[in-house]
Amino acid sequence: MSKKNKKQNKNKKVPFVSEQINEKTIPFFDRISKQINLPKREKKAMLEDFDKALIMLNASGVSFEEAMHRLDVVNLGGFYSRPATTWFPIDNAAKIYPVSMSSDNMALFRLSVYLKEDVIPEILQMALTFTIKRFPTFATSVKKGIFWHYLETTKRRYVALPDTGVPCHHIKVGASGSQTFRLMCYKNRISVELFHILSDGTGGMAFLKTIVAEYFRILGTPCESTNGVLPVNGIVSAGELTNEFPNVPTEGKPAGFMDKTAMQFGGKLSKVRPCQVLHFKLDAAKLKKVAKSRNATVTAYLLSRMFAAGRNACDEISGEFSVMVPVNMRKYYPSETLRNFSMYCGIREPLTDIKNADDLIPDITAQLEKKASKESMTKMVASTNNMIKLLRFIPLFLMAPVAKRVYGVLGEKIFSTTLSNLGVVKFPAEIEDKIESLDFVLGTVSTNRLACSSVTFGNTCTFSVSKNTADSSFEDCFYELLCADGLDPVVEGSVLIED
Amino acid sequence: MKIDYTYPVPEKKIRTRRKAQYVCLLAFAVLGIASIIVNICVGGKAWSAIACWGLFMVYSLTISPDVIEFNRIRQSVKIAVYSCIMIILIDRLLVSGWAVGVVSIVCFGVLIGVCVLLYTDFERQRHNMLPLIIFAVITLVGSSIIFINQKQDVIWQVIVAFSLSIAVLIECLIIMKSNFKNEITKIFHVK
Repeated sequence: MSKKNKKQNKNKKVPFVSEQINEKTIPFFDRISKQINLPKREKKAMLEDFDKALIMLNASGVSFEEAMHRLDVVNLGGFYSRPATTWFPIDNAAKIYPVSMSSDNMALFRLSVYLKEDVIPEILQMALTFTIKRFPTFATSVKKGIFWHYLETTKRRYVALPDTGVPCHHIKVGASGSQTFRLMCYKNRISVELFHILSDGTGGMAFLKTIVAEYFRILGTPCESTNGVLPVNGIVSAGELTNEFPNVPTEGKPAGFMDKTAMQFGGKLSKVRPCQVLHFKLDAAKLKKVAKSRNATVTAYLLSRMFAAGRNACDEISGEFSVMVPVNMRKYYPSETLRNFSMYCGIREPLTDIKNADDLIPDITAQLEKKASKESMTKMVASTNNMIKLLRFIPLFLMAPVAKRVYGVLGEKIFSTTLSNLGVVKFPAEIEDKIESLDFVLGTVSTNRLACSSVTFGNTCTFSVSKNTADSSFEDCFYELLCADGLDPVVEGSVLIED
Repeated sequence: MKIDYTYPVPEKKIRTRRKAQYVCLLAFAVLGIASIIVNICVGGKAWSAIACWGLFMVYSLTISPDVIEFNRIRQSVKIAVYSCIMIILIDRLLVSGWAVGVVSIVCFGVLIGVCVLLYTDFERQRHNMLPLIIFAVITLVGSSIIFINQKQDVIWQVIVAFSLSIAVLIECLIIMKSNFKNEITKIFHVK
């Protein structure tokens, strides 16, 4: 070993262990050091991450040899040693997000997994360090081109942080090399918050699942790359990075964006958005049974309760409520892409018709069938593609102010709220029993008072509400409706951040 | 409904810019409109245009800054461009005949300053060269026009700005080297 390396490694002794063990770790740190070509401060921090993880594993009874094997340099895969030269155009659905964002309004979503034991932050940091290379579009910063924004690969130490208690709060993406996502942990929960520019729920879930699988591998429970977990050291396939929108065949007349302005739920808009997040934890089997007894899907059943609860949270007499329901395009056009590949439809109900939640179900079901059909979604994709084609030669500085206003009208005001249902999520069998539940939270937009989302893992369906108002009318009524159907949800959440 | 709190209580007070932005925008709009009205009533030179531009500069640079690419190079270039527009406005609307020299000094001063900023944090800032390239091109085009129009009486400031802009563009090309095509593609992509 060169003198220089010896000197470098002098500072990388693992504290509290014998000199003999430290001697063994020197070649380990030497190899890692050679694989990290980052600025000094970041390199030092990364070496410290390895250091802490080694100590942590050893403290849990793993020998240093085994710990070094689990944290082997091969898992870095050259990601931190090669210069960043790649970039990715933003997919068609996400092009609007950087244009319409402001200092405190950003399209975000959050996915969390609750483990049966408390999360070890040092191991989670290593899991992220090893996983990020497998998701090249996530290892990026947002940049401005002349005509469109783009994602530029950023080689840096991606950080796992402690949870701040303000879910889906604005991510600062402005500084050079900033992260466009946040990985956090709190007690037994691992959460990832993603700027929607990177991916949709499906891609985000693949990212979270892979981090969780890597976390458990480091802790000594490796698992197969199944059920959406990607092999962290595997080769990235081109299909995972594809913008699938241009590949959707254009059939029929483009349509789908324009609609009437919807009524908004009541309540004063809060300054901090979202000001509270609530999770209704439901028995999934019971929920399915209740929905089936009403000849409805779970989504249609939840929508009917949302309309009824929304009616309770609004003083208006006339007008329409409209709930945006994102539709995963992968079910119509199978794709392995991890980028955005979703569209949406609006389920509308006049306020005057909202009297009994069950009475709404047939109409909601009919609307879902029609508006979320392959044909309708394909037309909407065609509209999106046409719009992108139309705007592509307009410089950003001209387009951005107009797009921001148009998005306010077409993207926010035509909806009262959102319901995004990720469906049933599965993990590989080896780690499934170590996971308690999941949740999925949508960031809020500036006009709507709340956004709803749901995800099911095992026998727990978590329905989440992210709120933009302190008014609790919606969730109180929603809770009562669920209780009336015998679902008796357990309600968890964050404290209300008051203005 | 009983809520079980499963999130940590935020330690810091969450600050939002929204209200401050709104109040400032309102105040600046009132000031701008007031200056236009006073200017029209009093008559004379159109000084209100300078006042309005000054208000916009302050609002854009401090109260509502960029949310994407808020980096030292872009901000320096933005300040330079805004300042040059202000100088030209003062020259055109109040006292004429001095702007070419001052704008040239601002341009070459900023080109030097931005290069210093680039090299003091090279690894990070080399990804932010687009504003520098655009500014160098604008300086080059501007000084070339002055060269063509005033063949004999070109002042030294313009010559320095012209030469420096060429030097900076060459420097950018050297930094980008073989990656030049890739850099240009991503900056101008329409996909």
